[in-house]
Amino acid sequence: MDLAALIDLEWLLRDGAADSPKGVRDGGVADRVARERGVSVRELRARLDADPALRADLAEEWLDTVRNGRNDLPGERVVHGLDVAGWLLIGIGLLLGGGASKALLAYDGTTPVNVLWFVFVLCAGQIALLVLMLFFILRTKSKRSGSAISVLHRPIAALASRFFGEGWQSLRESLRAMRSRQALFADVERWTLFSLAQRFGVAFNVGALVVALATIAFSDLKFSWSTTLDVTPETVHAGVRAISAPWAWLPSAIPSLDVVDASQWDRMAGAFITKVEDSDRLVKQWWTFLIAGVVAWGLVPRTVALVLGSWFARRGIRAYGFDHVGYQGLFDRLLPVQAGWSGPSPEDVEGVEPTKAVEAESARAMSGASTWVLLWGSAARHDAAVRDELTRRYASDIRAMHGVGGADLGADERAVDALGREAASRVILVAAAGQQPTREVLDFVLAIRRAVGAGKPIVAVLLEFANGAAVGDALEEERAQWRRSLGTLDDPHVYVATGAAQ
Amino acid sequence: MTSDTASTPLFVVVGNVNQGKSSVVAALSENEAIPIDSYPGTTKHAGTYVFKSADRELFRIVDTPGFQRPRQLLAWLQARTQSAADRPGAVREFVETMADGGEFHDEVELLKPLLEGAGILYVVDASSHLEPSNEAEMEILRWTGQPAMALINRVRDRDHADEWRPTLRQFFHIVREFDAHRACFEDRVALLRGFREIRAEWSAAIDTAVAAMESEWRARRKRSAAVIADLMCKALAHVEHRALAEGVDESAVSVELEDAYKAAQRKLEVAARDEVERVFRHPGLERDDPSVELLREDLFSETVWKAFGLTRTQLLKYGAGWGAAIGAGIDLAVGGLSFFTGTLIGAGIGAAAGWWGGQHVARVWPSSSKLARTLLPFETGRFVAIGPVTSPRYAWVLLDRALVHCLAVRDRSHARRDALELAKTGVVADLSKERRDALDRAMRDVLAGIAKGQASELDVARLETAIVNVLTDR
Ligand SMILES: Nc1nc2c(ncn2[C@@H]2O[C@H](COP(=O)(O)OP(=O)(O)OP(=O)(O)O)[C@@H](O)[C@H]2O)c(=O)[nH]1
Ligand SMILES: [Mg+2]
Repeated sequence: MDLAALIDLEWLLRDGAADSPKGVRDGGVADRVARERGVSVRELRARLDADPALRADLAEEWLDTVRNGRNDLPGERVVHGLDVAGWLLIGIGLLLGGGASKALLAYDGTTPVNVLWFVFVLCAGQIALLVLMLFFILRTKSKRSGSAISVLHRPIAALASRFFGEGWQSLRESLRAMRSRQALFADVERWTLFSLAQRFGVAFNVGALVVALATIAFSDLKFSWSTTLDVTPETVHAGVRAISAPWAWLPSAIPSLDVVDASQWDRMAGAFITKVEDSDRLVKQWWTFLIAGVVAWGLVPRTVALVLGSWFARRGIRAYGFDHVGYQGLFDRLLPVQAGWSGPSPEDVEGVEPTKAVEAESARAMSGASTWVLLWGSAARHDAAVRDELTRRYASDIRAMHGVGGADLGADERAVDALGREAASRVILVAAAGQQPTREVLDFVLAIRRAVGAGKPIVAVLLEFANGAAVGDALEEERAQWRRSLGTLDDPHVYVATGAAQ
Repeated sequence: MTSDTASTPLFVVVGNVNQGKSSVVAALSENEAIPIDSYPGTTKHAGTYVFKSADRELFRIVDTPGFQRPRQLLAWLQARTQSAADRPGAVREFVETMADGGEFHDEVELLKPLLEGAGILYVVDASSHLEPSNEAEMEILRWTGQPAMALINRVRDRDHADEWRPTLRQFFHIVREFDAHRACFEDRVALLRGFREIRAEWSAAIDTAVAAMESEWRARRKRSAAVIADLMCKALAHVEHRALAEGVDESAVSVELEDAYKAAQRKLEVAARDEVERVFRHPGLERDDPSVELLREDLFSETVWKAFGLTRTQLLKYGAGWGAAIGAGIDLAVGGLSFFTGTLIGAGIGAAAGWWGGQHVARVWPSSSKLARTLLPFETGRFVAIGPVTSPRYAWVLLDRALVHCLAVRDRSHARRDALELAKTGVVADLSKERRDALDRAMRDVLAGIAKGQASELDVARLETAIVNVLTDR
């Protein structure tokens, strides 16, 4: 897993990762990882929660599948951008370091180089920066602090928008989206930027060293020190020894008190204050000290910081949990839960519903007429109640009542025969609410039609019964259900009665 | 048939048309797609639903078409049997004779799976009356000689269960209630456990299945809590900003900024809901229906702010903590209140409805504020920005809505085909003090982290745990 991959993953999963991008088949991902590890897919699922390395492998394998043939992922671009920024920083560092060195070692043969300036800029200055850096590291170690390194974001952003223009805009959006939650990602980002900054530091010191060495080698320099303050050579020597503490084991790079004494410069007189015999030789000895100072206080710590920074960044990637919501969703998809249902597709079990256009019509009031009544199923138990109710509702003259739809199939036939014999002019079929218009009910209606002949009204009345009495109508939904089913008979004189209230 | 499938428990759901057979199967198998309709005969072909755990088939449920001509079928069978011993044979003969459908198509479809040694689940709608045709159905089922259980469902609001029970008890040694539309996870598991009584040798497989379901259920609870915690982090942290051209002042973009901020919050909420629905296997849940009033109701509307979130007293208590923890951090960073329109963004609610912490969601701040470097480190140039959330009231409303939605989705039966129905009021105000404190603490810590650049994973995990606890209690 590298930074580019991590960025791509975060970017792809930033919205919770509902689905793989279009056209990507997740299918083989889990299988491949399982094969690599020599375990079953089931085993993978069981280990998933406890094993971040496995999560990383799965995510990476999936990313490989997604990346295939896509070039709109930001990871490579970010990494490329960081690379470019890194090289820019190295270039700038070399230039600035070299320039600084050149300026500090400038000597036109009159006034010798003042080592105090050199020490102030390239040693003391860098020591101060080191202290700042340590402070930064300690601060980020102690949880919960804004990242001080974000000072770098702005300049980097400004550079990036210069160099990448449009592309940077979209990239910036995705970076923002990714930063919204993952503290761990912030860690990776922080150390990546940190080591980027260290490249500048290393380059700066390399530039300074190279130019200093070249100047020393290719021209003859004289060193001196001078100050307005009342400072004795002993004090300066003590300071020099303090600065050279890191290379105390290298006496040739620590100027002796003699050297310090011999190199104090008097500007007005234009000469060294202490006249000693071999002052020329002595004052040249400073150079080893200056070089050692840049190496010890600049180059080495910056290189260490660079190495550490990259190591932390890499460790951040390795320590990445791959367990926020987006990843959870991804893994659920790659390794479907073990327990689950499967079944046929809806089309394979469904029948064709009749179109609503052929609903049977509603019958309203139909007072007076002679009526033959058939009581379906349980409604037959309530014949007295039905008689009362129908008489009350329709004031109809009930000529006969038959129980049908009971245990005895013969009763159905006898009732139908009777209707035919008596040339029934109007038939009411009463059913209890909840009775379904099943095929046998429809068959029976057809049988009635055959017996009474075309054109005679056949009306279905749905009543609700309780305690042996008709207490009301079935629900409108139930009547609608009957209309729909009776409609399939395609008979204009088959009706469903409206409720009493209507 | 291999011995393996022979030992896999098989249950066939049968009954008259429109009793809710498919609904029972849909609820049990968490299947949103099974055709369910009030048209009698919706299911035309038997469908087998298989429950697997770790690649092992644990049991199967078959949904069948309903009986359409049970009396005629019984008559057919009776005409071909002399003694009780002939009965299962007669059923087999019927299936074989009528194999190519015809008028008994549905009966063949429903009896065929029974011949494979299935347990019978006979579903009745106790809101209708016991009809003679139902008695014929029960008789036919008895003739198959298979172990059977009766399930009492209610399609309508009427209840005639008393009419059914004496008869059901004669035909079935187990009679249970199961409300297909209201069954939640516990009801489903209870029913499944009941299946063990149908045939003792199936108990082990059923136990394994129940254990698998329960562990899957715990995983879902955790997943959904993670989704809600993630929503809270993203919503609380969200920052919207607009670049300002040279010489343009903030008020030029303030309306656009506020709209964009609200839109972003709504979008996060919707995305989280989709994810929760996916977790609970409700991918196709209809939420666009206007009847889903309160959750459809805009996140920033006054009604919502009144119905969800904490009570006034609770808010007063927690509000102080929020002020101290994040308000101060953000306010200081914003750099004084002198900046533009009072620096608060309105929640679209009247001043009268507002009380402490009530009137605003988040603060508006300029690119010169200290927050800019922490929250928008990549921005260059002049801009004006809004966020993160500083109002405890808003945070609680958002969390409450997420919880209410999650609970509704969790407890929704897969048999329902109507729009998602949600509680009209929130849940957070009624939580135990301990639970509420934990949630508030976690949200505050998350927000404090955000104000410094990033919420710590530890705080997010705490929020997640607090949410899991709430979901477990309910
Ligand atoms: N209110 C309510 N309605 C239910 C319940 N169970 C089923 N229904 C409704 O009853 C009707 C029939 O349900 P289905 O599950 O299709 O019944 P079925 O027995 O499979 O019907 P067929 O396939 O036609 O034989 C549908 O409109 C369901 O919404 C329930 O528990 N409560
Ligand atoms: Mg069905």
